[in-house]
Amino acid sequence: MKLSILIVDDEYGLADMVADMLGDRGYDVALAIDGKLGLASLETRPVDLVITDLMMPVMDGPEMLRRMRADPRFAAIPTILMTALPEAVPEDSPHDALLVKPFGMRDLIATIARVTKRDDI
Amino acid sequence: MAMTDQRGAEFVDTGVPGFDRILGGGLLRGGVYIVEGAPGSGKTILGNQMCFHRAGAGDSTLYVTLLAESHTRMISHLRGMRFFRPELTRTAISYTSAFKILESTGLDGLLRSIRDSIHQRDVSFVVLDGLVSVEEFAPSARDFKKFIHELQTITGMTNCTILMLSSTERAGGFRPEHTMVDGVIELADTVVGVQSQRSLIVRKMRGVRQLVGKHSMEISNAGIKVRPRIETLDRTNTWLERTALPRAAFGVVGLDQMLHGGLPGGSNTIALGPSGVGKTMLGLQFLTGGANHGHPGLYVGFSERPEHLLEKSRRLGLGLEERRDLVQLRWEAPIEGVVDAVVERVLADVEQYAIKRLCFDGLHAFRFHAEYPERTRAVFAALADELARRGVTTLFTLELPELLGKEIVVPIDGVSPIADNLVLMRHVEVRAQLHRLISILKMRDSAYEGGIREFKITERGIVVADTFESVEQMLTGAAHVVPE
Repeated sequence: MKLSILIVDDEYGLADMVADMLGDRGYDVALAIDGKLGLASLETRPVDLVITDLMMPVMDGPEMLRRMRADPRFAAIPTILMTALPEAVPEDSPHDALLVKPFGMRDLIATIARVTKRDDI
Repeated sequence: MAMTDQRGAEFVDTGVPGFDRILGGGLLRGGVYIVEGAPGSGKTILGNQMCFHRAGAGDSTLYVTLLAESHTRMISHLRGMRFFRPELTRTAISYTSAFKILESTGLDGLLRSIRDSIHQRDVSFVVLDGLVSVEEFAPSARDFKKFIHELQTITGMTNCTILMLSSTERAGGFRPEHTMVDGVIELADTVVGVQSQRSLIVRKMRGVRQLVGKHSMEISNAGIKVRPRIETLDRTNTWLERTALPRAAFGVVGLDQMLHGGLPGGSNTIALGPSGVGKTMLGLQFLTGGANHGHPGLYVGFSERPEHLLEKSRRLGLGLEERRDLVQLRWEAPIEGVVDAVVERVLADVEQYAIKRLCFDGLHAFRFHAEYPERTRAVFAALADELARRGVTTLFTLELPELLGKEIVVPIDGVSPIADNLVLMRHVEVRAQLHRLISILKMRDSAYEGGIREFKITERGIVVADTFESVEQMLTGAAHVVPE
């Protein structure tokens, strides 16, 4: 069964492109443009994986992940934090994997396989 | 530390070298500003440089992009800049994109997002990159103006300073939003002839006296640097009484006699003469003459490199190589460049080495550095004035185009009236022999010998002989022997 993924990113273009590429591979992809909307999306549409950007308006990626970890319904969902500024990632950010932008599709798929522990990606 | 003016208005310094001087102190805390310019003019670098500076000064800053431009790409470019300090991005700088917010919720949603981000992170400096997108999404011109007005309300409440970057091709023209903001800054990259020249103009600045007009700008891996035009800068306050300064003797007996002891201290002199007549020699002798009495000197030249000058000095016994402790040699390539950069370096040397005598060898070559050659007169006037205020006695040389011409044509309009003193050096042909002549055409507020003397370049430097009395019309270079 293909994974369902939530991509949270404020940046125009990148999230849409990644969503399209994952969609073409058969993934079920949802999009949100900030952490607050990402959490709202989880409420209505549970997913197998969350990929979030670091810096976003309203609520940033690490804050969204902290709230997920604090909520038993979402605490076990694997997470990937992506950023062009790895130096800016807070030490207490509870992500499972860090993906530094720019990245290729191969890197993304490998990271997804690693955090979801799936070999059928 | 915050700077305030007499009314208590607080300035935010930008950290961009030269920019605060042009702005009249910096940006006003809580002000809203527009930076306009075509793509590639340096807006994004300017915005980021200021963000990093403010973050380094302790402000929380926010960089919001509204363009379909990747943060990833922008940050990869910024990593090559010296102002980029990644550690600040963890705590003091946030990069967010609000294009999707603008697209989905319009101007109201964008305002809410900016307001909330400012409150959440206690932000005091915001760069909004892509004002054109706001205008495009505004249902009407009135809505766009309302957006700017509401942004000002937010800054009024939060004391946050906002810089809006606008990639417009209409820079230079009046825009309705210009009336609403606290300042408008225009960046340009224009081509003059074959030269590309970056510039910055502060079109409007509320509440301060900015340096008006166009200033040169440079972008390097250090970021942006702006050079205020020397003509617009406030001069050094101290005005040294020239009469209190000692006369600047050349150490050339005949010449010092003509000058009644030397050039008046703190004055400026133009030595006019054709190529090869000995102007550089005169300048070097002026500097070694001063150094022999303990006065630090600076040579600024455009044609001969320091090693050539030292070789010339050895050949002609000027003793320059023995006075390197007091005489600095600065060579500037006679190629296209920024005239204000040359002036800046010269004044920095004057400051650093406490220069008392300066030889500026080649006002004519200096013109090659001028983006606008018509500025040469104004730059000369400002530089000469600034040097005089610092008590520097300056000898400028200026090449005359005619080697043996009948007329003396000063190649730069309007400089000779500004000069305190004028010295003319000429070749003259008499009985198939070339002679060199020197005369004083003008010395402001000082007596001098008006005669013409012959001089020679010897192994002991310049030697000025007695008055050259038997030849007429020497000044025109077309001499003939007077029948006895």
